Amino acid sequence: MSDYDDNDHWDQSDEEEVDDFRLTENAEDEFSSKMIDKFGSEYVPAVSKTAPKAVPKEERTTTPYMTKYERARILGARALQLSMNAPVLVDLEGETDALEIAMKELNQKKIPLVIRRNLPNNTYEDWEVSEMILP
Amino acid sequence: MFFLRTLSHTINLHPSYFGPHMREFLMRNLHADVEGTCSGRIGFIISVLNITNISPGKVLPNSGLAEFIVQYQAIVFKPYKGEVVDAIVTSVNQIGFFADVGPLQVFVAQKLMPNDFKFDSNGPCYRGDDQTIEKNGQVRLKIVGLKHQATQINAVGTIKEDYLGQIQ
Amino acid sequence: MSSHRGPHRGVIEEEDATTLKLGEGYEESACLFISEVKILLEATQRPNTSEVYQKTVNYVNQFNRFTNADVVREVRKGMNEEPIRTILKGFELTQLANLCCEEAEEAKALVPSLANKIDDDALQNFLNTILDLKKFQT
Repeated sequence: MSDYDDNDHWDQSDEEEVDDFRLTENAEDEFSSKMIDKFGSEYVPAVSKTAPKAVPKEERTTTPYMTKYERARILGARALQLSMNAPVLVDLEGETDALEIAMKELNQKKIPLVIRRNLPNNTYEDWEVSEMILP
Repeated sequence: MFFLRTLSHTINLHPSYFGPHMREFLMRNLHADVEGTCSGRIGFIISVLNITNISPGKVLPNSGLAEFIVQYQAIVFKPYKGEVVDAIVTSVNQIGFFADVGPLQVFVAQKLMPNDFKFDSNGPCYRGDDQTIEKNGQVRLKIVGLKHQATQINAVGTIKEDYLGQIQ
Repeated sequence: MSSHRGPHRGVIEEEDATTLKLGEGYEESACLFISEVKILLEATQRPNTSEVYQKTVNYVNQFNRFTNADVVREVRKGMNEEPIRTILKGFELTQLANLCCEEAEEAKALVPSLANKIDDDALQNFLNTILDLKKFQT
């Protein structure tokens, strides 16, 4: 008996969820259609659901200088990879610390990573570490 | 029915595999991961034929692994309700017989055989007026029901229609 | 409305060969008949011991209708000829090539979706091309 009760309950809650979903979606549809009326067909909402687009290499506009945040992230990611046995791309010269090796790789621009800078207009620029100016 | 399908699979590759032979590792990983698997939506993935595209790896934060999305072409077998197929009988018992359609196992109950089919425990086999269904024989059957489970598909078939039954 | 609610909501549409509902991604995929599968599997020279693979190899070897690659190519060519290609879907054509029916009536009984699409003569014509190829293969 209790099994049945459980099932009933599940069915109901499921239906409710579906109804809710319809409501929100309708509201959304109305909203977006109004926006298009107001701004004409050119209007692109700031938060678009479509996948971000790449900016071609020649048309990139952001700075070629690696920011200190990018540097930190790159060093961290690379040092972690090195600590997990990734092949080292520089002469070790007796170095054993993963972060030290990562710094050495960065100084010689041998880090095989690409920085993806996501921009607010739903595009992104890809910068290879090897082509950037170090901070 | 067999299909040639383009599918994609996500592989998380450990940093120790980075380097010039990464593609081979990805291929080996793909074969091990997808060949022989089965799901309700896709069916049975029998063999990977070739890899059409490997996306650039994406570094996963905090784990050090890289995520690759591999697109590949594969031979896929997907059964459908109402489809007529040829099958190999694998076992016969009192309640019916099992037959293999490639990777799929189909069960045909005695109720879904023509009325003149009788079970014969010598063999064991089913005998009709001019047909016998026994182990390793070939039958033509129609799939009437499918049950999709997480890792396998079960099918029920019938031979109680015109042009179905043993293949001479 | 229901079209853009996404596949994770509501009931999955029931797939059915008789109405040619093949499921997401399958309607535009190429169908292969058994002999083609056999050729493709033989072409990939890779040890594969999975049960699914072994069972399939066994199956395609038992039900291989066309013994050499040239005949298989001819059958595929016959399937791609007008007008049969526009009248029937790849799924139906492949089923006909797999089953090798002798008469149009039999074909229509085994592949119900053919019923109102094609007249018996045209169907018989197509079946004859397949049967002839099968008969005269070496």
